[in-house]
Amino acid sequence: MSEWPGQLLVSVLALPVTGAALCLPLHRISDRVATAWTLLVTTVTCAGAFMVSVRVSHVGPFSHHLGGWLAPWGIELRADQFGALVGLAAPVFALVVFYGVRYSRHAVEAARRGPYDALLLINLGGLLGFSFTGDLFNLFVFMELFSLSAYALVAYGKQKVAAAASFRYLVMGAFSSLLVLFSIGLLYQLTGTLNMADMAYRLADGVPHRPVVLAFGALALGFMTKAAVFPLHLWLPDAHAAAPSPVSAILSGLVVKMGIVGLIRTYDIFQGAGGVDLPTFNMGLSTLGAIAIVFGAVLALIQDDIKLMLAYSTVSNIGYIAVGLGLFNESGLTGASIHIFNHAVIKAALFLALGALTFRTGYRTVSDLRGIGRRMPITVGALSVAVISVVGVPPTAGFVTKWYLAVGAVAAARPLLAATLVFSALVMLIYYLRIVNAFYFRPAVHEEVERAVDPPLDMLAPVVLLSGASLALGLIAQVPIGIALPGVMRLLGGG
Amino acid sequence: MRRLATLLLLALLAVMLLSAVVELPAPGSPEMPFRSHVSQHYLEQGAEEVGTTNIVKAVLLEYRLFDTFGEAAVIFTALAGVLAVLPPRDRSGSGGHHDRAAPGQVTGYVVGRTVPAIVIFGTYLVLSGHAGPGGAFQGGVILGAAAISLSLGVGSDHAREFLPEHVAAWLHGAAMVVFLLFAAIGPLTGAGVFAYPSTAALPWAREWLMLFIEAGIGAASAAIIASVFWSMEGRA
Amino acid sequence: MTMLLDRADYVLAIILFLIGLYALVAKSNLIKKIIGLNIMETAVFIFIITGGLARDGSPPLVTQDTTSPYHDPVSQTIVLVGIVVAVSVTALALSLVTRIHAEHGTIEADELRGGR
Repeated sequence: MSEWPGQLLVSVLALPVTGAALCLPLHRISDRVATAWTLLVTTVTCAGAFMVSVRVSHVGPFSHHLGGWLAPWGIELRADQFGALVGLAAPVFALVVFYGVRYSRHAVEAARRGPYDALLLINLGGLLGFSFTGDLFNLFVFMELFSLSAYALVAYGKQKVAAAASFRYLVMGAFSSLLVLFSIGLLYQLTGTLNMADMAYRLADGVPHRPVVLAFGALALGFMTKAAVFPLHLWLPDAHAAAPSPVSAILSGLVVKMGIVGLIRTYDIFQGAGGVDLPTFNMGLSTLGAIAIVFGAVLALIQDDIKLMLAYSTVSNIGYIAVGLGLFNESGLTGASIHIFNHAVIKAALFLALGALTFRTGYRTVSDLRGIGRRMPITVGALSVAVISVVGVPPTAGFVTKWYLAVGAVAAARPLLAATLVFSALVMLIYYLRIVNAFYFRPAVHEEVERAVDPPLDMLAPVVLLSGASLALGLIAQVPIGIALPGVMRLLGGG
Repeated sequence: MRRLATLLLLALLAVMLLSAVVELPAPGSPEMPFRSHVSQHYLEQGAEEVGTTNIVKAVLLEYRLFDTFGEAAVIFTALAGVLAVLPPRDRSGSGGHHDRAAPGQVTGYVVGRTVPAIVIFGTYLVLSGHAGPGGAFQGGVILGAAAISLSLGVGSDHAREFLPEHVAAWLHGAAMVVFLLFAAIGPLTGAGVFAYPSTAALPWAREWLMLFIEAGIGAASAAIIASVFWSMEGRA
Repeated sequence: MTMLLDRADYVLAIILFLIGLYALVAKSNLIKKIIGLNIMETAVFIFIITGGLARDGSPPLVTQDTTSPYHDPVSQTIVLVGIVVAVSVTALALSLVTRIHAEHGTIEADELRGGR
């Protein structure tokens, strides 16, 4: 038998996807058994993914050749630094699922609970598979797994717009997947391989330029749509606001990040390819990112619906990551890659805290939830901590990211970009202060708000843990940075 | 105005795509780069390494088995998604609403005579893919189509008697369960997770496991396609 | 011109792709959008499959001793998986349209946006 990390890696990918199939029949037998199964699979998978990440951070990236077929012939799984950052965020997914148990009992009809659990598990498997594969076509298959399950999960939203929002998400998602598939087909014709490392090696010489540029364009555009980078973000606000809170936490925290991971893979493949003008692309990407930061922040500012506000804040935060990638220097890339992880923690904390408020009161706008601070002190306290972190007040996780990005912008001699970062942090501070002010210092307008109390422990604990993590990650930022740095150096070509 | 802008954009895209395509080797020409790399290895070594003469099958069930696993999971996801969007109605109620016209006698007669043949052909495709053309997905789709034409011909209430709901619930996940067992068998035979036992240790195991996987995928795809049809039928 | 004629399959695939894209962007009816998406998917499949064909080739079934080259098995695998994905996306999309129709009474994107 081959080495254990590889075996662990395969098991982590195979378990949630196969486990999902049992959710449907188990729900016919007993809700309790099915829930226990879902929680068990999620916990084991997330713990396994976390162990893979720990292994990467201690020993470095490793590969597993499925079925014993060596790299270009068979599928190679590869755990590298960027995949490890996603694996590090896997516990966030587990916490969301734990939180979601009571939610789904409360808000989902019995007949739809089996598919709900199954879709969550498939989504988890898709996210991890996408991050941990070294094969471009295998990456596409796992991308479809998390995308399809995400479209369907949006449709669990309570409001009437949910189905339409899900449909729009599906159309944009299917279009971007098609671009990726087209690019894969083209790259296969150009190189004769589907393995990403082999592909990068073979693209380096003797390949016609214009088709390579086309393949690059299609792949980058596809992943930018998945990541909702500025002009391609149109599907995001509705979908993330219409979905139920636990689903929004996963979509905003993890699923859109897959587009970013995809872009990093694109860099890996086209690093040495002739004809592809990466500096120009990066210039465009960082400019779009800057526009996204301001645009998202301003639109978030004018929302009364907190979920829509958080969704636009995701647009803005993806902008931060895009700026970091586009800067393409050490600080910028480090900031961007640790924000993949940091934003997952922060945004999950925010969506789950808001979900708890809605669970108790039935409201989700700033004006309806006035005065909630004294009624649900622990939840609102956790929300406030996460708010401070997303704005980027030291010493939180959000601050670390923004510090690295600002340093990167200055190092790249683009002071305007640095100014944009600071400006939008101030705008964010305003809109989050507005929430905190309304929650703590305004009288309640609804009776439900007057009567509300903190949710039960199984919902409260994930909220508190996540918001605590968003604070603590600022103090132990060296851990994610230590994982990301070797990967960043690899992208920059320093080994 | 908006239509004009769209057409202009499409024309621009057409020029870009065409200008890239002329730099590709013409289709069918022997200088396509991929002819000398991975696929050449498959064509030359595949039959010997894997033991099937259908190389597409060798790729699907051996070299890139993990993709096939993902593919089977994708159709299962589609089913879960459809059930999430359109949960099954309570059919024990007042007979449901049968606003659709009853199928005619001629349709019923034709369907009754052709469906058995379709089922046999579909099953053959599922089980014969390792040596000739065919395969689990193709066969599964044909079996699913048989269920759909039966529903259209004699009404879905009759058609569903062949696939009761509690059986369907397990069949939907058949492919995934097969893969779960397959993943678990590997370590027991010393081959590792998600790998076939070595041919030296168990010479017959590989072929039987392939058949097992194919049967699982075929049954699951057929049940899923039928269930997707039934859950959408008569809704709009 | 001969450059394009030699690559007629690719040119046809591009035309098909653009027709699908036009339907996706310009049509308001949600079902027509799904049809457009499917046309685009077909175009991409044609592109990948024809790229993998060998002139005077035979299918990759290595039984008899043929002298002709085999068609590329990997392209066929990619397209097979692609078709399954396309079917799955279409099934989910159609079920969403069914629900939108039940809830809003229309499947025209223009009316959906206006009536919100």
